[in-house]
Amino acid sequence: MRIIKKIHPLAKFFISLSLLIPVFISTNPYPSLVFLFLSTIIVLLSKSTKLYKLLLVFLVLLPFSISIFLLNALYGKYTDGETINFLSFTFYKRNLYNGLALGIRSFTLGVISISWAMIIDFSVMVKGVMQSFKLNPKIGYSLFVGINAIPHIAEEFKRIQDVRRIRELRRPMPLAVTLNILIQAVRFSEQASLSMTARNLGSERSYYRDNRLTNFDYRMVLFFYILSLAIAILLAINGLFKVGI
Amino acid sequence: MKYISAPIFTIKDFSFSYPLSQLNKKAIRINGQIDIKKGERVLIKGPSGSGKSTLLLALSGIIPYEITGKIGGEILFKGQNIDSFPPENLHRSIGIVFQNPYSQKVTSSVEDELVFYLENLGYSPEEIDRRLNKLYKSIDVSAYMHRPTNKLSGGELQKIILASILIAEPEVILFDEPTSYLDIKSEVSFYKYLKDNLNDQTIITVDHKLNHNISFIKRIIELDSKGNIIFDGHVKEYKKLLISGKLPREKKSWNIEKFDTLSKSSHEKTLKLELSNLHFSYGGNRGDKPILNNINLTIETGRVVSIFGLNGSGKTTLIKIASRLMKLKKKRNSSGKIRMFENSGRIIRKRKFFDNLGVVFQNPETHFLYFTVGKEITNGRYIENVDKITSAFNITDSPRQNPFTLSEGQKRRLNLANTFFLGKRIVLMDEPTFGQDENGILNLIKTINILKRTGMGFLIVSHDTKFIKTISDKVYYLKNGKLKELKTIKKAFGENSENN
Repeated sequence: MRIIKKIHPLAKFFISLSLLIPVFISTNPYPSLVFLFLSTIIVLLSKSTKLYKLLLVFLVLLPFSISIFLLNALYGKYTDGETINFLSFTFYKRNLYNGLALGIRSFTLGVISISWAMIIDFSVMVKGVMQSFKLNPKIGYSLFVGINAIPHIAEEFKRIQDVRRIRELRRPMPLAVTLNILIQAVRFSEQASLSMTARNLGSERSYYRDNRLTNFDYRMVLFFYILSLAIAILLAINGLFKVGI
Repeated sequence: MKYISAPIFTIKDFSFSYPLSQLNKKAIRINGQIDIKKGERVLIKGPSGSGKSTLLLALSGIIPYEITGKIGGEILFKGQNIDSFPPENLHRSIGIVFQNPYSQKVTSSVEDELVFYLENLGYSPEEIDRRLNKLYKSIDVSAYMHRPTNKLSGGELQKIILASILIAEPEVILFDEPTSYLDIKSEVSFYKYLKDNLNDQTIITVDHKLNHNISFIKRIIELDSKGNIIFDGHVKEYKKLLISGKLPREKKSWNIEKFDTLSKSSHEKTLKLELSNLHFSYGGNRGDKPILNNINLTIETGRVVSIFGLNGSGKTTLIKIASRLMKLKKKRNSSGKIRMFENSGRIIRKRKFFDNLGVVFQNPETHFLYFTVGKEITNGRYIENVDKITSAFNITDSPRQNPFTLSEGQKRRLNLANTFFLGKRIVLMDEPTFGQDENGILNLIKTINILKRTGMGFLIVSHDTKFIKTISDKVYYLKNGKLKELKTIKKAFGENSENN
């Protein structure tokens, strides 16, 4: 859907928060499921990422959520009430319910965060913050360097592995690799800071492209906050939304 | 052009030591005074590691504002001590291009990188647009305008960094080996651009080479390794002295004969690295156009094969594929075979591949894994005579020095020292002359020739046509993904290079 693609990355960031907040503050699993569904639909409609990549995120996060569920189901705080026997385990029903809620909630929080990060252009987002909210460019571009450092560190890791192969260093030495990456990260930021200073980065600057939020972006953010609130109220009326952390 | 008599820069007995440097060793020391007038085009030459890059950092104000250390003497800018100017005023008037383009990029898109300096100077979008349009008429960046900066080749990135400074037209421009990653065509057009578009700007260039820049440079200052000014005058006078051999020359040899005895290579059997029917395309941002198209190439011990081609033609990609560091994936429409075998036909197994194959990357720092020069050479092992290797390759007096504090030329020699120490039989080298002075290149040629005779083979990818011409047994030209063997060296450089 073109309309979702048109939304400014900074507005997308705010929209993702509107989906995360209700999940974060609800103690039962239903809001998580509703917002997970809603978020996945929006992400897919934006056509900025592919279904298989999204499924990969689901797959990566699933084991963590299952662990949270099992931990709470087996060793939860309740030691009385109804029980359910499954295999050779005895579960308290309330612990099972809590575990399920926590597992689904953590899964949803993870999926929404990562999938929205996949469709947000962070460099445009930071420029948006600098232009719309007057963030000091020195801080903005430092964030920029931080964002650029992520692929750089990934490349660095590959580079170190390649060099170790070429230099006949076969034994894995995690500490040496970590130190190498750390040193390269420090050098990367030092060089970037020298380069920025040499090219006169200060508190005042102009911008070639206008990356400010438009009225359309504000309206979209408002729409999603109202939508999230409406869903939360609807769930609460039906007893499916309980606030707590 | 009118010169104003008052110098824009005065460098008086300037010296600088980096903090924590070995025994307060000076990164640069200049004995005497150098005056540079407004509008002058100056080339500063000197041996690798003599502190030329440090001098440019001091002229730009990065030293002492961003990099602190022990300073001696003084640098005057427009008659006042340079540290009396607020740094923002200096950076507004003085633009600097670092030697290594990888260390200068800040943003992730080409357009952002081009306009970064202009935005910081506060130009309006209309003015930036006007300047960009003017730039696009002279420099063609359309081919990689929409690629992220981390996917550009070294040459492409260097063009973008150069353009990002030139477009701002600061009063003074400092270039540190501005064409080290550029092919001949780009180098010629770069100097043509400078000639056609710069008016009153003062240009100070640090470079080892004196070829295409000769049309642009008017004055040459040459320093020796001790910081003495051995020449300061007009370029024509310099050329005369150079031809007559009257210019004092420090010929520091790498003592490679000594090194030969330190190398662990046993070179009894001939080895071949064969690339057959190689096809490669990046896909995605680079489109489906093949970077390499039906490449067939054999590199064997005792021979030097060289490849040259324009920036972005796929030379570095070829090195990565030949070394099996980049895999040939079917989904990228990539295919082909890479085999290493002995003369008897016995294939070298995958596990033993890197025992025989060495790679020297384009960016010297890419190679580094350890925190001292000595360990860097010996792969972290302790050996007694490591100082002999460091002196053989003229790297540093102290094997305990941190490799990152070396000059670019010293870093490159360190790469070579490690590769040679490990006794690799076939070595793939990506721009081996990067950062080397004339003496360094001569020593590199000698070293390669000695190692070739003892049974090592080389695949060299370089823009340095003089170097290729001297060293190669076979020369190939890479264009539009195709590799064309050039039968004679003369033909190679007659047809495919200009003004060489």
